[in-house]
Amino acid sequence: MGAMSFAATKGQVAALEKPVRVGSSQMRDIAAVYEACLGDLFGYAASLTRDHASAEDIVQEAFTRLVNESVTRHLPENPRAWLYTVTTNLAFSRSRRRAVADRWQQLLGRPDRAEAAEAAEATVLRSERHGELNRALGALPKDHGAALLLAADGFSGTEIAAILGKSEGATRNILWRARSILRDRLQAGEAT
Amino acid sequence: MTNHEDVLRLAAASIDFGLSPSERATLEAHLDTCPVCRQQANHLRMQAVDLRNRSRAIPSVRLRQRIEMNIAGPRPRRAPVTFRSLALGGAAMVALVVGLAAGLPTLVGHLGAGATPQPTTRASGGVGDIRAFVGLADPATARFDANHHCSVVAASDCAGDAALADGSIWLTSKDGILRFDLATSAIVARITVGTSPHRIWFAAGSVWTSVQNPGAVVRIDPTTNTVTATIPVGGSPVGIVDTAGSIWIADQTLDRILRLDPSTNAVIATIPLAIHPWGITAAGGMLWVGDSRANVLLRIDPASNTVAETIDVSAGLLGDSTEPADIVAGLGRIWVTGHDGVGVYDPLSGRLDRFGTQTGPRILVGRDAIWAVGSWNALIQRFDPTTLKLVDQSNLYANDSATATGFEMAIELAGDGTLWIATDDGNRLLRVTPAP
Repeated sequence: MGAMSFAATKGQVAALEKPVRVGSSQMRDIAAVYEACLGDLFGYAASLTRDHASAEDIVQEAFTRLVNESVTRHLPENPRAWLYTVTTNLAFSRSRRRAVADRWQQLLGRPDRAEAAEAAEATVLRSERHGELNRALGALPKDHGAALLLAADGFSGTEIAAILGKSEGATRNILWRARSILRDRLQAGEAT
Repeated sequence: MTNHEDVLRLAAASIDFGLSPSERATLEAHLDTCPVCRQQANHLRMQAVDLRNRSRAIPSVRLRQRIEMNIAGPRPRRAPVTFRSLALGGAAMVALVVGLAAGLPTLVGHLGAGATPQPTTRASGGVGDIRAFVGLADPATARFDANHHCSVVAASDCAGDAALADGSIWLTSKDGILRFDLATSAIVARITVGTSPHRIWFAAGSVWTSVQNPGAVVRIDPTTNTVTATIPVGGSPVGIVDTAGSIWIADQTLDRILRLDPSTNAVIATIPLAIHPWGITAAGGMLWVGDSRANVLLRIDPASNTVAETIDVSAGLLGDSTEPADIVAGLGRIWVTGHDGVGVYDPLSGRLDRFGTQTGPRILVGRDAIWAVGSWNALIQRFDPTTLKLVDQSNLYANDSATATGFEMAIELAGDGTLWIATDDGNRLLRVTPAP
């Protein structure tokens, strides 16, 4: 199987600055993708970020980039995987920025944002019936959690590798570790 | 001897990747003899099922509106046929003759039947290059000879609605759908669907049109240009739109909204209304329906198939001076047109605005501009989508001999920025290249 890549390029990101003009047929294609993907994509982003507000920003940005991609080039061959790739990258990027910001807050002696983050996560967990499972998911390393969430949303191992930008071998290891850690944590939770 | 962890790695991999025959044989052989690994492998599989079935956060209406504000493009709608359009039919026939005379050289040029150059007119007011592009001649009946004599479909038979899909403009005509191919600039198909097709819409890989006498919804396969289903629904279906994986039809006489499942072509829900619906559009995952006096907007929730909200807009949309003609969703707002202005409803703030003079009845809401065309005055206007101020305007027939006496008109925006305007004035399809 040939290598797959769903990653957005710098050129596509730069194109965001340009005004776009979307044709009706393009619009309908995008609308179909929007209707089909929004629910799962937002659930994925919310699980990944543990924060509804961040998830909303990320998903909105992902669809904006899809429009620009369609205008400047064409609708991606697999728009669903493309959207998940962009969403994953945005979530990881936001997570890194937040970690840096938190470190600076601590250096400056200001109260960190842990309290706010916990409140945001509690909101997410309240909206999810499977709180224990989602809490365990949230405690996984980012790429581990993302891999499991992508698998849960129906992506194959090969597709997950493409979305995460990793080799199939590395993805296989990530998924194994993620499933193994999750199993152990949930079993430990059941035992207590 | 197989390591237990290696086996569980294989068990995990079998969930996400295909295993080779040898890997599968190794896994199965071990699980047959090791109850502990069998239990752990079952745990992994059950965990995968739990992950798949876990409840997820649901996108809010506000998020939907935010996204649609960014991505929602033009979704022009046409008004149902009214007595006014019928009354104007005779006048439009006169206009047909005049318009045809102006447009014929273009037609001949495209068909290669003569060396007459295409007429090009430069509109004033900065709107751009407006070109009478081609008459809506039906290739099955049209004859273009040296005397420039031809017969075409009647003026009132076309341009009621238009939709861009699959590299073509699909237009309603008297008893069917015309497919105008943008690449070849030719009508490549005429599909008979019954009398009085009203709206045309592209969804679920098909072209849909509402048909009256008798009331039905017709589905067309654009790959074969054939009717694949005629779904009798009765009443007077006028508006079609798609959202939430369904096709929705507004019925003007039986005062109801029908929900149709495109996978089965079956009507799966009927929503009775306390108003006479005249237009329907979709935005924010919701359906929006206007009444015949533009006094009320209904918000219908596809999740429950019920009217979720009845919004009194009598104070600001159009007033009593004009009847509504079109309803469009775009930029997170609902746009209702009349023949002398446009009313805007913002679902987030509840704010009502009105703008435009001699504006409408057709509009196209885009991020760069709002375009409005008037069938009775042949006026094309461009508004700033942020300020709703008029940027420029021009007469479609500024340098043309055609007269603006038509009623039916449709406007679509192609991916290259070209505006396509179908009008029963002179039975023509106009191509407008907006000025930068």
